[in-house]
Amino acid sequence: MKRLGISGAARIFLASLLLVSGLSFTSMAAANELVWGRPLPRNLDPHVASDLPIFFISLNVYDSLYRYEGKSSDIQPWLVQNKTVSDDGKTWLFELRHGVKFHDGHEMTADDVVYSFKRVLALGKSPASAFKGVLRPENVTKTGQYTVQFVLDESYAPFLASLPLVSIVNAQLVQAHVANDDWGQAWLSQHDAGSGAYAFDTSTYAPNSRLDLTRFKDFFLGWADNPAAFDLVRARPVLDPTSRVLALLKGDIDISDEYLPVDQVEKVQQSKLARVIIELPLRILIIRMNNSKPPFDNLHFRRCLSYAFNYDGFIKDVQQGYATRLTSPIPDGLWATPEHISGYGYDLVKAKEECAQAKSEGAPTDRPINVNFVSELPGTRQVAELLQSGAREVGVSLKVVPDTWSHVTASTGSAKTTPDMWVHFVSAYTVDPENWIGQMYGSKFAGTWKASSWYHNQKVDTLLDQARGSLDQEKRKKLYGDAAQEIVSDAADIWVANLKQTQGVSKRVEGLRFTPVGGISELRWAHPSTEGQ
Amino acid sequence: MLRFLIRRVLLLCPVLFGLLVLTFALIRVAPGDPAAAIAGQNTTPEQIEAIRKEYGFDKPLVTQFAIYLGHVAEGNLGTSVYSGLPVIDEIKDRLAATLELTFFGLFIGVVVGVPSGILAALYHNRLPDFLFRSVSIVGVAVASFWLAIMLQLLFSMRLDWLPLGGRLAPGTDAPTTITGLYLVDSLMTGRWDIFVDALKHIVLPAFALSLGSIATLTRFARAGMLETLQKDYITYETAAGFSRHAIILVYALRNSLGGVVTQLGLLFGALIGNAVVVESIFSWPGLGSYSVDAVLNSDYNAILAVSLVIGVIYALINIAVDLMHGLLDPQVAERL
Repeated sequence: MKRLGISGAARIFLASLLLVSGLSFTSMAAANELVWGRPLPRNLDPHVASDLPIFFISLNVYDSLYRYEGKSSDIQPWLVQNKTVSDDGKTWLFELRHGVKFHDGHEMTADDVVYSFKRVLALGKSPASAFKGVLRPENVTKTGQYTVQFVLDESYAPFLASLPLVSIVNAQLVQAHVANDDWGQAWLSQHDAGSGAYAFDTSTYAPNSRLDLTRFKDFFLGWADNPAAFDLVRARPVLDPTSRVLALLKGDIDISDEYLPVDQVEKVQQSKLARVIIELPLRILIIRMNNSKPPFDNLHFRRCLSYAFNYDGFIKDVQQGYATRLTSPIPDGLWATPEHISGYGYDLVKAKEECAQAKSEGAPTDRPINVNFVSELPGTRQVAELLQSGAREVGVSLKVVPDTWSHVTASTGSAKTTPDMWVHFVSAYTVDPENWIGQMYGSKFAGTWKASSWYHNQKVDTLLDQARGSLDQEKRKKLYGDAAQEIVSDAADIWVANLKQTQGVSKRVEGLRFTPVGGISELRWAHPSTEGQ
Repeated sequence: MLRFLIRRVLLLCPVLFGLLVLTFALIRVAPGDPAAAIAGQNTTPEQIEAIRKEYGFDKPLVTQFAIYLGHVAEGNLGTSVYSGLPVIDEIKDRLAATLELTFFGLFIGVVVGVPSGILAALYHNRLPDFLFRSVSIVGVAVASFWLAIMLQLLFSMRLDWLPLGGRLAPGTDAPTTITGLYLVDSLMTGRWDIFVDALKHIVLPAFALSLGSIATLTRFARAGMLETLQKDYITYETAAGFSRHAIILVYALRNSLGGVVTQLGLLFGALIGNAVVVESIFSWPGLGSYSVDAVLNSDYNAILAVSLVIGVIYALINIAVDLMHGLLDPQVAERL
């Protein structure tokens, strides 16, 4: 009994494991299936969700009037055949493609486009912010079965760049499911009303747990350019980042993080089953300063901290080279990137001088200052700690505070509740300077998380308004450059780096195309590897 | 017994009311603005104010609580900010997943922990006793998240015996829902393939979850058995010539399990707590990972609902534990 008691238990345990594993069948995806391992969006309604994962839905299940395609920051007509713009830049007329089918077989017409824009503007969620103050619902009208007219309140150059944000939904289908004047929100949060390359059946959906997309045979662009496309895309989010990398290395998932932890990049590169796609996605890393609160209302104090951050140390040691230096609020790789702005460097001598100057002007430089980082955003803690270290060298005491995205963005609704400093990224939702410098430093965006430095400069507001109003790209570049120069001179924030995208992808998947907006989320180009991985 | 049951169920009401008061107050005094959280990103202060009025967040806290209580009484736990779906629907799906995981974890705890404790007691102060005690100390000390990752590395990555996470393989469809527990439903519907797949997926998270339970139950089973073996009636039965097997399995075992049964109720709470971490690591779509999402997204209705549901389950489990005491010990049954 003695022997049986001990070794018997161990034997039973091992035998159970062997039995279970012996009866197993492979969990790797079938050849014509792709397994998406990244988190799903908060909500499947493309007019409501405002997180990066929504691109998985908006680029695969839905179509838009225009779309960003390829690495170029130019946008391409998608559902549009022709456009005309009035000389004053206020009236835009779009002629739509004919024969575009929604997943239920209904043909897309101008009614669907008008309804989609009215819905976005009425709901007022994230996509609506791009049209705030320039487009009213009553000014989106159908002028023919396949023509839609937009009349803007004023000339607004980023309008075209903002059109990919609005997914066109099947108006008839959504309207049939409206309850309590909710614009069909409850229904569309878990159902498909799109015309995109992939469709989904809601019975396969469990929030942030599973969703199956199937190839839409009647997709309006057809499949001649990618006949071997995946027939089935199974979204099976792996929630924990470490487990997600392991799942990629094991072959359980095909698509992993857009931003692999830098210490994992090499490991994935050396894997037999996976690889890393490295691109420049127009995503910037920034440390915000609440310009409305002392001592941040003092220019010299802001400059002091700008000089106290070890930029090169962050890029080389923390990011291991997967980043480049950002010197202004406009990312590298954009047509408006100002080449003449060198920004602030790591210079503790200058930092001390600036802090001394601030103190002599009465700024309370010795008050306790919090720098919040976002727990779910990898890398933000290291940035906060690196700044804390540099600030300590010049006699400024910073406390690093963990926070969550939902809490910190909610707190930026007023200057009083906005943290002293916080670290975050700004990703590309539209490829226009308005996405960065415009929405981050224009006074009219105060109260949003993007404008959480509470920066106010009349000259900058004027330059940004002029840039928004002009359709001449060269002129806009000059205006944005001048505004950026002014903002950098004011040291409104600390601009840290342009992040490189380190996307983990299975070697059994080929054909993925990268675009700054959405990364490799658009899967209609993807197909199984011809090498039979 | 029936009077006891009615009394305990009635006592459940003030306990749950207290839980709701506490959770509601904690959430509302915590930093953050529920209206802003619901509004999402890139919304204007005016939009947030409109939402504040629409959801009644501008009313006094007591009024807000009274409204919430009224909704709960009607079975309406609100809508999730995260998904836009009714919280009650989301919890239904996820509750079954968590119950399956925790019960399986508890099952492993009992099956491994109780015999280990009894063996340790039978070999008191000898090598097996030393080994089981050492293992139980390690079991209590090891953090479940560390163990979870180690199990993944060994059994999934190195040996490739078991899957890394999830409840089923991507290509396996869920069994027809009867209880929501995949292991049970697949057996009831005769889907052996799904049963095997579900079993493969539950083994590692359940074991990671159960190590603490194994350790605790080993210690309590050992202590209970040691105490029982020193009772006079055991000495009498030994002297009367009863076989050692009979003494241990028929007389001593039942009387030594009182502490173990008490622990089962407490351990269930600990398992639910640990599930928060383990479910996230193993992508187990249960209440644990749901509550992580809820907290990260300031999904107030979801946080309140999860607290309430776990509170109800915990209270019910403890009533069941009291009843089990009665079944094991007639003296306790008389007092019930």
